[in-house]
Amino acid sequence: MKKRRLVIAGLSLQLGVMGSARALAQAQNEPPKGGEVQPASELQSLAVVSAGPESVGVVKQGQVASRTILFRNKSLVPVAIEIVSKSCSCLDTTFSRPFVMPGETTSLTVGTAALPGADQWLHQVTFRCVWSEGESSKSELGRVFLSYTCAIPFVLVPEHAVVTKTVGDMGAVEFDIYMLGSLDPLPEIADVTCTIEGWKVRRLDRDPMNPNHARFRAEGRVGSVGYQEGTIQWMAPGNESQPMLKTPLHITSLWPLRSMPGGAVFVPHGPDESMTKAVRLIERAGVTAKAWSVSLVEESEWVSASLDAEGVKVTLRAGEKRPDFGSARARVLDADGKALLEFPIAWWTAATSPPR
Amino acid sequence: MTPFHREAVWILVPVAMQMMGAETVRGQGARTEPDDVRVRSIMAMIASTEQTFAAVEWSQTAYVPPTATYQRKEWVLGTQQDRYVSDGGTWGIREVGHYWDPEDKVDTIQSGFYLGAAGFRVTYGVAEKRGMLTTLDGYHASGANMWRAMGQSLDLDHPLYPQSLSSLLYQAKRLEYIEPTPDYPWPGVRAFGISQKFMADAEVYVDPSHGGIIRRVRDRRPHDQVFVRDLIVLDVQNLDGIWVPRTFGTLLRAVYPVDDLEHPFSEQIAKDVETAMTMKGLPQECQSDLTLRWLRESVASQVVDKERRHVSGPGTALAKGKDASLFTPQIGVVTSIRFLDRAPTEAWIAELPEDFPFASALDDTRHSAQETAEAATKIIIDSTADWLPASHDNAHGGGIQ
Repeated sequence: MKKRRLVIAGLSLQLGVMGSARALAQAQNEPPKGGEVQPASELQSLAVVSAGPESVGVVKQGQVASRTILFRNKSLVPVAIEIVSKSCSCLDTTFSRPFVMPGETTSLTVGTAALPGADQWLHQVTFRCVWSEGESSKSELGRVFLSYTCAIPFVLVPEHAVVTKTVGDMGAVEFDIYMLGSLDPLPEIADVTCTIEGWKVRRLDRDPMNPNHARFRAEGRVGSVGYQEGTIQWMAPGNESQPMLKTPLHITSLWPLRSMPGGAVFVPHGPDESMTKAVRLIERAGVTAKAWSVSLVEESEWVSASLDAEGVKVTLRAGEKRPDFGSARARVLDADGKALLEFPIAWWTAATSPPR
Repeated sequence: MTPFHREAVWILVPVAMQMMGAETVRGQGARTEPDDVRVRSIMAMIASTEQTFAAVEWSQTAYVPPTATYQRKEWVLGTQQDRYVSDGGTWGIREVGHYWDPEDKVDTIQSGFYLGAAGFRVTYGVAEKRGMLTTLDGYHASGANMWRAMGQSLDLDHPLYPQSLSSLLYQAKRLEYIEPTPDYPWPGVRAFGISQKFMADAEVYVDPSHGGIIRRVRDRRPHDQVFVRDLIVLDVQNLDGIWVPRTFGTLLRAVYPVDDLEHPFSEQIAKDVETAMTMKGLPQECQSDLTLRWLRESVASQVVDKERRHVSGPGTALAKGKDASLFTPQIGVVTSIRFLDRAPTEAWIAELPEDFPFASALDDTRHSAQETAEAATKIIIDSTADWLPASHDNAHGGGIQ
């Protein structure tokens, strides 16, 4: 069977296949909207005057890998240029002039902060050149590449710090840093910081037998319900502006209780119908949270909630003036008035027959 | 390719970009409620579904469509999976996948066992009788699965720590109400201008008559507004008073520039569409008018886009490979489901064989290159210490079996 040359489109495709990050960067170039993509050197409207090497070689982690290509408008009419797609939104792509008069030049700079994770990264940028011929508009697509290899002297494990806790609890995560060369000592570390307020990082051990390894522990209190992202930074002596190493810290804060079902949804047949739904409260593992009272986040004329042994009873009240549609939120509190859970309430008066 | 080696490659670039992100805080309180009371009601139903399915264990079978490329003349069983996911961050997948190789005429069956928590993933190649410890890569959310149709883990900008669907929708510049139609009798919201790298606009439909369960999620990619993802609940069932999916469909649009193909691929895909529309090979419970409507709208209408000169269709692979999970669209059947009070990590680990050699892909000082399954599972248990592993006794209800 002949092999097809397929260009896989869209970063959003969920793949499950073995491959290197290089293969991914190659595969995930988004296709332009139309027309055949030409190498930059074969464009009809632009000529390449000079170009930095496509492969910029070995670049230190975090430093910028970039190349610049200088184009000249070789046509007799003005040419407008726009970036159509790039293999990664981490790429900075800039044309010095997006509109080039005949004979004039414009330079395209493609750059990105070097990332570990691949033997070699290969990025690409596709751009469109548009010009007028008589009364019609012409266009063509060009593509340039940038490849580099990221050099990292040490490795951080895990690469992503993830903490999931209930609101207000203490959370912690540990990191190991070790040198790739087994005999290389760790570089001197002046300071380790976390950008999330209240979170501290400390070094746990200093093993004289293992000079190429260090372990750190970040800990702090988890904030309000939702998601919080910060950065842990390792600073080298004498360089306060650029961390020698950094990693993101992702914190998800959950309510101590869960609701089952997740919310109360009513489907009354008319405004004169009153309904009640039960929402069971579930304590998360390791949490001893006792529901004491329940209220609505914002008062509603049409919804009330009360606590019983099984959980929360939510009632949709009848009334001629009750809107056909509506929503509310219930909040469960402990004896100290601390919120343990919020869950949604909705009602929908509709004649829509159930879809099956 | 084996499950042991398989990586969720789609996740890597988004992960790399996440690593470069700035500080962010996304809470439940920082949002503006839309003026339209219908939209507010639908948003509450979406949030209710999200909270219902925050911790769930289920089994599913997924069918892949016919395609001449892979000599599949009808829908065939692609994967059988048991899965659990907890909003505490732990997850597990037991999978049996079929891999049909048309060149060698070989139908290989591969089994995999995956467990994950915090920053780690442990993979067990059942056939190879060895395992691998690596960093978390979002594998738990990948592929065709019921959980994603429930609005979970759809945030591709943050695949490892996704925002909820309702959070994404609240970020939109505008939320509009969508009327039910005879074909799709569910009200919905259309979100315009979601500031995501991989999601520009989205449509989410809910089913008030069935507890407000999410029935369909579609989203467009930013650069050309093409619908690239379409998840639909084709039928529902009741579990102890809570409505859950019975059958579902997932479409991830694989788009190929026509000019890049060596022969009229589009003609072949058009024929594949006709074959897919017969629904032959699908279980009886999947062969509904709704399934046909959805296939016709979501798949057949996307065969060839002349203006953009792209082609897509049934049986198109999301990447090169024989893995059944790579094909789109897929139709799935939920064969059992239960909601969890506690993550069943310990019970899952207990099913693993002993003396299971595994290699650490982390290559660090804490985990040697060759260890044992016991060491690997300890990592999972340690990293889930915040979430006391518990037995199935803690699961809610009897579930649907």
